[in-house]
Amino acid sequence: MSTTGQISPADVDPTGFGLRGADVMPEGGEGYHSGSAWRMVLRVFLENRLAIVGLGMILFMVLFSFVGPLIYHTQQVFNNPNLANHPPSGAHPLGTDPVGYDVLGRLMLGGQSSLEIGFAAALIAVGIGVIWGAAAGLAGGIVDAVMMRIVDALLAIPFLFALIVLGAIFTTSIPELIIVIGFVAWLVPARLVRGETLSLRVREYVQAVRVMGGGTRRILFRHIIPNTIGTIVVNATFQVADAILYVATLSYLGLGVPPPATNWGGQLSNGLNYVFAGYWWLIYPAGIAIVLTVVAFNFVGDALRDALEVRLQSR
Amino acid sequence: MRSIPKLSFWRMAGVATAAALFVAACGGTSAPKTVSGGVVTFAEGPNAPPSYILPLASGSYFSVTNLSDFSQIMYPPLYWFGNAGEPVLNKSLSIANPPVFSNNNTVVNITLKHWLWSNGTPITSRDVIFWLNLLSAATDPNSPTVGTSTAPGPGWGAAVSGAFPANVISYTAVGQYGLKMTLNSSYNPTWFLYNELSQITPLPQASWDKLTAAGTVGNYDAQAEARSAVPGTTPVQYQPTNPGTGTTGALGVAQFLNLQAQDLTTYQTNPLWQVASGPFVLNQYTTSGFVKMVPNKNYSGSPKPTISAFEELPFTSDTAEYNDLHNGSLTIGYIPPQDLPQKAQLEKQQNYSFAPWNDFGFVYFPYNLTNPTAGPIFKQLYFRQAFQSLVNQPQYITHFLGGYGTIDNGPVPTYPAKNPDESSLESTGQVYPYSPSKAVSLLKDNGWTVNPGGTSVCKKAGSAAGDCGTGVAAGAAANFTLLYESGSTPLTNEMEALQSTLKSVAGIDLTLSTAPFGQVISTAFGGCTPTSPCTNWQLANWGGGWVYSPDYLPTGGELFSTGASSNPGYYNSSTADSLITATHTAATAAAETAALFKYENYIAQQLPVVYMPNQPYQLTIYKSNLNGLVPQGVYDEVYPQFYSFKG
Repeated sequence: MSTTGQISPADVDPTGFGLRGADVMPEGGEGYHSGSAWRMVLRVFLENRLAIVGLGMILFMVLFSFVGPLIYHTQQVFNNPNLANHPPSGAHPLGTDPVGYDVLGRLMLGGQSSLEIGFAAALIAVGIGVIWGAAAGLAGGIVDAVMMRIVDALLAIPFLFALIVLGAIFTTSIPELIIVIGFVAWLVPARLVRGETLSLRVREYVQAVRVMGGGTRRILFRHIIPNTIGTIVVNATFQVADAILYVATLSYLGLGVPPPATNWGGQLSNGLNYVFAGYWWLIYPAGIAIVLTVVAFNFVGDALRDALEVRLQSR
Repeated sequence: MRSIPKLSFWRMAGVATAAALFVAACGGTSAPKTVSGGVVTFAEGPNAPPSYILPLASGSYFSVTNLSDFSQIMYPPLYWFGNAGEPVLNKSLSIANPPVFSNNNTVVNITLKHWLWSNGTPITSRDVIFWLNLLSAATDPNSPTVGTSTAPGPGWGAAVSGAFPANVISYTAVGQYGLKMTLNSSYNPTWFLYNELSQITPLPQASWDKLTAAGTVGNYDAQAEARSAVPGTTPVQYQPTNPGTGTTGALGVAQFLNLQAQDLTTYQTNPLWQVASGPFVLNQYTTSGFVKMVPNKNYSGSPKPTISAFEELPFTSDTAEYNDLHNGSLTIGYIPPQDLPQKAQLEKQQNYSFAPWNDFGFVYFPYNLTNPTAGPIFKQLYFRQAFQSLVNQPQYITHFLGGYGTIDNGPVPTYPAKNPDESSLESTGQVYPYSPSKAVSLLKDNGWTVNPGGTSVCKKAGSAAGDCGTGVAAGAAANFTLLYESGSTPLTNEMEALQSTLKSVAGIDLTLSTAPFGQVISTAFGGCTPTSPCTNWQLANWGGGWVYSPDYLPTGGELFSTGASSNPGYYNSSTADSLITATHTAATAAAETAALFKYENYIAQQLPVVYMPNQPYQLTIYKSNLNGLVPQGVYDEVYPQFYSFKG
């Protein structure tokens, strides 16, 4: 990229798509104002039908889990074993579970905790991973080497093993599950962002900030991290899907939220105890909810990656 | 040996069964042909693999899984109890002849049969004295604590303060196979046999009397044989004069063996465990709980094993176990109650037979009365009554146990049917039937503000009538934690239902958590005492209760006497203690029965534990071509030496 005259750090577009108000052409092609860039991202995203389906499914799951209980009232705190294992009927559209809870209502309650844990754990994982990866990549040298060897070492620990150990140490509740999953899942975003940072830190606008006396913190938070936003957003969607699966796995292993709270993984785990009894309504609804939600987040993540990747935009 | 006539029913039934089997066997033509060899696979309980091989087990390891279904196969006790499914002495499987009592039941003479260890050496009185020395040292209140235990020595799960072996003045060998014990008082011979001598397991002194793995075998335990009177005790109790320390003497040997038994990784290779007296010896063991035992070629009892191996398989859940049943790969397993509808199909498709395994025990879980927060509340009888009134046993039996269960009213087993040990209070009706209104009124009448659906709190502190009771502060909340065994679907359902009822009706808030069986019992049996209270648990349910072994008469000393090893929550009541003691010394059968009834009625009313529905030990299902499984051990013991496959 060639520039004419002096520019100030404030002139640098945090999105990395160009310089504010500067008539310059970025490396790789014509530059866009940020508004145009985001519009293009949105346009490409909306062109992806699977993304729309995924978005719709996520929206449905959120409404189902959080608005559903306001419409479909069931008792989900106190059980009634006298109603145990009833098949679907008018009174209980998805039947009842082994202690007499209405399965449809339970699915809504389980969705709340699954989505809460999914979103919050993803936020923590991405937050830690981004800061760690960007700091390592920007610092370079021995600091980078040490920080990334820590990541490598932690990555070498089987993920499920780490989750089980942490899940066994901490009392299982929704906040603790969020923390446990978040603190185990940050390694992948850290690697991704570090790779991006290694590329970004030698860009001219970063060097310009340095020349003009901009500090490391400013470079990190105003220039590096905003320019990895595409990677971060895409990874975050996958992290949500992964976190939902992790909590399902932990619940399956008996390390989920304690009753009367529940989540889809716990419901599926309990239901599988009745697989030979033929109580399908204890298995399919929770299993389908997990699959649909994870697939939906993957659709959205794939579409966001396509939309945010410049080369893929020109398809 | 004297006997108590009330047990003659069981004895006669045992004799009649044995006679019937003998007649059937003599019939010849109807006896099924069997073949030698074959491997019998046996499903372990969900998340409950055996984890301790030493018969001298502390409370943390004192379980059916570790003892009846594992170590006793290799190390049978001196006196074997359980005969053809009846709760009686089994003379033929015992290593010694029945004891002879004399001098007004103050002297006991024991004569060993001439059996052999697996290495070909004889089992002698020295091996019995070796056990007695280790037991004396491990249960001496003056012994130093070792390892992480807070109890003296490595501990013994059946220890009762002042009882065996503290009630023995001396024990001496009489020749190679004889033993003489002098007791500190006159005891009921049946009680002394069923609950005291029953605790003895001969151990191979010539191989195990060591202080370190690399050390040589010696007589390190011998110093503990000399006994001294404990001042101020009535009747006078006796303890070893020199029990040793954690690294010396009998206590040192016990601790060495305890540490070896805790090292699961060496079970397969440790030469200690290769010397056994039972019908099988250990061949393979993995830390995940897979066990393979092979016949002991020098086993002296009868019958001799005919199968080539007995394997115990671990499972993380009852569903995982049922998967193996479903594909027919298990010889002996259990149907989880939720899968009972599949029983007929399983029997037909995989050639299984069904036999519920009932035992001589009862199901409960303890309160931790030493817990600084919950203990003062749990100590209030009205609170325990309210709690018990919210345990809906009929509902649990119907919905969670597949109908296989009976209401539990107290500490004496409901099985076998018409158990003569059961008082009329226990056998008729329910002492504290499910009654939400009674539970609420009990709390309100004793100073509590009851918040159904929320958390009830003590409003009126104090110890007067109508107050919350001694030690319960104003504002104390009915908020407790309950740790229970993971992997069992019926238990999970029971605990969730109980949690719901307690909170919705009486504002008693339970926070549930789960752990594997071994972790639950090691947590609960951590040696809680008033001076060393346990803060890490409040209620603990290991998914069972107690099967009366090695206290084969259900007089409760090992469970409810103050300071007993298997009294995890430290229930203590001078009334209970004296009622228990009265069962030990009754001179006649009628007096014994009356004493037992008084004790059990008191314990049924006082609720030292939460009574849960009695259920079979497991709903056994086994390959129809397997002989020798039924009747199953009434004390949950297994008899692989009886197994054979039909030809």
